[in-house]
Amino acid sequence: MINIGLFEVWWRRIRMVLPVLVATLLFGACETEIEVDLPDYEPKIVIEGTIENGQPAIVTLTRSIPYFAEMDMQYIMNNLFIGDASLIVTSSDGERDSLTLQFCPDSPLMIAYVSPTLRGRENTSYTLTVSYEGKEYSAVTTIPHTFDLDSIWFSYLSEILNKDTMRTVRVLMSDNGAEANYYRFQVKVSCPKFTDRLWVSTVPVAFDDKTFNGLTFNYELERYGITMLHTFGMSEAQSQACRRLTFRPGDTIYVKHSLMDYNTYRFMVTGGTEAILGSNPFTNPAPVVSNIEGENVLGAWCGFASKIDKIFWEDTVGYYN
Amino acid sequence: MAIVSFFCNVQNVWAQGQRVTLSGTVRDASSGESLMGVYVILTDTTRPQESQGCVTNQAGFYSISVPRSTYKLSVSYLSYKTIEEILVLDKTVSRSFDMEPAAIAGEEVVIQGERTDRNIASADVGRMEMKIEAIKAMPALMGEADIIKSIQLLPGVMSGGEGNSGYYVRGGGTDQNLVLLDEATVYNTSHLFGFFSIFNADAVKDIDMIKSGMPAYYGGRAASILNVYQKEGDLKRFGVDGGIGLIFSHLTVQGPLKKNKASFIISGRRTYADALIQPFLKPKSPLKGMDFYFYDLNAKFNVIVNDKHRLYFGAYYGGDVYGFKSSSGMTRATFKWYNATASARWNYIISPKLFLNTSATFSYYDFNTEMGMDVFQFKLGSGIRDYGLKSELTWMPTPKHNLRFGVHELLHQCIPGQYAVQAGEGVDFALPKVQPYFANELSIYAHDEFDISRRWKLSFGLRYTNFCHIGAFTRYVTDDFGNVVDSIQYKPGEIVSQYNKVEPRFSVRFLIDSMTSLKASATLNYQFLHQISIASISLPTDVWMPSTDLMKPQTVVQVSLGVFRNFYHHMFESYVDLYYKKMYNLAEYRDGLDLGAVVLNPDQLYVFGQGWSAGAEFFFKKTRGKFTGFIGYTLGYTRRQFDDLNNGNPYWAKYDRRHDVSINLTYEILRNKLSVSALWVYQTGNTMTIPLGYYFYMGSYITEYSERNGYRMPPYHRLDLAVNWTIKKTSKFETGLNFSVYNVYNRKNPFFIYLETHANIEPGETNFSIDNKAYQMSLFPIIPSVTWNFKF
Repeated sequence: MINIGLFEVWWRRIRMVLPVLVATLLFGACETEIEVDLPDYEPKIVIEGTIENGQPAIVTLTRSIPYFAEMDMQYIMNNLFIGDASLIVTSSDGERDSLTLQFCPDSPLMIAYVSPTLRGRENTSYTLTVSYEGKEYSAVTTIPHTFDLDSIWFSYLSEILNKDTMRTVRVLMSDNGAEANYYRFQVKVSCPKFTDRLWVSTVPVAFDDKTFNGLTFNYELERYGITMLHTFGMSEAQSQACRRLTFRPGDTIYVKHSLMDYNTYRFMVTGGTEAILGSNPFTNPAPVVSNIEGENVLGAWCGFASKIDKIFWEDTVGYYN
Repeated sequence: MAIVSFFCNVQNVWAQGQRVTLSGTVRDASSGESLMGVYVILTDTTRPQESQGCVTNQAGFYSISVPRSTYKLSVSYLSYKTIEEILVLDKTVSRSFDMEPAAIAGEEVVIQGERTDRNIASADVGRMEMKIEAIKAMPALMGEADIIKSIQLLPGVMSGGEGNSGYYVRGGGTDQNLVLLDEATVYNTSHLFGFFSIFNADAVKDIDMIKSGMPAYYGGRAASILNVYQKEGDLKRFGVDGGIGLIFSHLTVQGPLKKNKASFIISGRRTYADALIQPFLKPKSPLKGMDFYFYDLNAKFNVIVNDKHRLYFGAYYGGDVYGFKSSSGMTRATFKWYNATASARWNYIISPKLFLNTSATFSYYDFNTEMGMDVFQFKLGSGIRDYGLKSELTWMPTPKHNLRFGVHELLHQCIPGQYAVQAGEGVDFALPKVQPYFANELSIYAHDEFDISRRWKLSFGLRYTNFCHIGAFTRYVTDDFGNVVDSIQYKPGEIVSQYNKVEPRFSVRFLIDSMTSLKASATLNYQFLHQISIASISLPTDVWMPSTDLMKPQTVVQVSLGVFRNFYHHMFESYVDLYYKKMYNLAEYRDGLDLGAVVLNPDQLYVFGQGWSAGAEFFFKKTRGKFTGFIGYTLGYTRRQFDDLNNGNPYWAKYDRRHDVSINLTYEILRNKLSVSALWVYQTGNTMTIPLGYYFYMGSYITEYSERNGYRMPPYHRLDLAVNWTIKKTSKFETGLNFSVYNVYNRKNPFFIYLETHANIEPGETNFSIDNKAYQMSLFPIIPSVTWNFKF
């Protein structure tokens, strides 16, 4: 199997803009900035919670933002974070932990609610309960089992690109045909120019095994969805180096491969696709499917069974930028 | 009751035995082509207040049974010299008429007396006709007369957007419109992603549209019928006509194969913008070196075997080929789609009162795209094929009845999508093969137009359809999470699912006086094919699917009530028409589809819901004189409700348009020499789903949207002007120029609105801001054009 994500991105973008492209070339179509009068919007609570095998529960609570609000660091400090909520995680085998707000370099905003003692275990379900301003929100997620890659290697791009200095990573893996599996791959790069602080998504953000159930298949990984939080605090050179899809000589690449439950998968597919690919002006955007119960709440509580592998591209040709 | 009354009436007629029948065909005197919609009226000279008449059918055939007497005959048709003579009818007579075009005859078209016009007299509450000459006189994009764009100007017909040839009738979807070219279904009417329609105005003879009160002899679609008839070819002399425009040119050749016995017409168009702009493209242009054109070819042969038998063979073939590539050449794409129709028709005048029309049709639509990225090749194909056979008897036992009954057999083959992926060096990745869907649609119908009295006229009928989804087919069985857990195999020809449906059709006219009538209709329509579109505009990528066990036939109930009023000897026509429509089993793609869905049957990817629409249409038209034109206005409401979309809440349809106005005016400065025309359209903006807020997750920015279609775009309006100058016109040669200006006041109409996020962050800095902005994409600025037309 190849990474259809490349085609998904490209096809999604080109198909709908074709009439515009044609009109622009033949008739001189144009775009103008306009004022849009939106209805009033009441910000909602956003719950971003994850729990992985061997890791604590990490939950960030924020508020959503009106679309045309002036958004800057001051807004974030005054309006974005929620730091006075009560969070409890209980496991299906009876373990219970109250989460505390603390510095957390693994979370995107570097501050999060973290479980002091509880750690995720495979084949275990976890319930998150959030109490805030008299309202309660809850969600259940399951960490399934981890899986191993059969092999991992660098893959050449075509001759059109400089194949000596740009590669993708391929993995070979075997799907368990007896169960429905939902996969997620992420990558982190460490190289002379920069080191990723956060995991970088691949595309599709998540996928199921319907097309290869029970088969051994290979899968291609590129870096997608690099946000300003990924490059936050980097120099311009580091930022440019970070914003690339492919891999370069000198890269050490960490590949995190995870399994998740169905509800987490639904959120990852809908929310992740919206976050990375965005919507198309010709289509109705698909709503993001949350697994959290409660009123005026966004986000999800996601369990992942993850393993990390590493591959290193020895720099024999000189670092390519 | 009406049926009992009809049979009593027929028995009375047989008992009388005093009646004689005048029948025959009406043709164009200059070309010999049969004329459809001609009034043939007999007025008894001894009782001048009593007139009886009929209208010629698509073969130009008419038949009137009257008591033996002496009659004043009147044969009239717009733009033709009226034929009038005294006829002594003491026996059944077969008589054909050749009508002389008024322009060639050099005479003014005179409508005499208080003749009741068809728009008043007929019971067709929702039928609208447009003359091809009127369409050609309208201003048009790039000067190319466009039938679909002209249809979009009619009340109740909404355009699919700027430059789009999709259209929506009274709140129905684009797939609910049946487009027939010489009785063969056309599945995609667009060229160049919808900027032009596939119909070459030079090859078209007549068009008519039905948007309510659909007669039982039409079926298979729930909203409208657009009937397009190709010209048959000049039976008398050879002729060539054509036009040279800025983007494309067209040429038509026609003439007799055997004078007055057999004729042909071949008409073609092709764009050459690709060739013209290639030298001016930059090396990195996405069009450099790529194919970029469309073409079409119409052909028709017509053989008059004898007075009773006539054969027609018509065909259409058209294609679009477009290619793009990125500046690096790494990504590239080609899009190709092809439309073809073929029809063979046999007309047989069995007796003066009985007319047989038998036709065999073939329809073909094929879409293919190939995309390349790096070493990978991705191919996607879809299409549909139809094989049809139809036989219909028209029986006119008395002037009070016009009965049509027939049988229609259609075999559909829908190919909803075939994928193939290559990764270089011949390595194929086997995505699941999407199987074609086969379906058989057999209909029988009977319809009568019954003149109960001078004031009352009924048009009623029944249509029965047996629709079968047949094998070969594999139905996948899934669990609650969409995983395939089993499958059911069906052999070729085996019935997978079937529907038996009866569609009653009813409309009535009450004639208040010769200038005013009230009309009402109530119809039930089933539609067994669905077109599923992932986009909100009609694109050639849309796929057709038959009804299956999961996808029920679309069902539409419509009631309509209208008052029709003409003024000043029918110089002015007007109507107000109210409608209400309820739609069931509408299909949309399920929200949030993922790649794994390709292993499922395509009909497992859809969700189903219902819709409502209601509205009022107002129309005012001046038909004669130097100054002609029409004003149309529609007030409309269209809602949808799907349990699986928008949290189950009702929402406005994409093309819900509160107001839709079209004004088309033509002034003839010099008769048959110089005319100017203007067209102004105004439409309430389309609905769209718009971001209301956003939030961060996984470090990414996720947009939160309004309810489905919860925002309305700015209104659309524009003014077009055209000047038609006939430089020289004789009976043997004609040449002229058309000057058109599209969007005269350069209105920047919204094609779509998109919102973009600008994150302002300086590398090395910790402060940042996010700035969201809205942009509007407008397609067509002011576009002047000139086309040279010639005919000899």
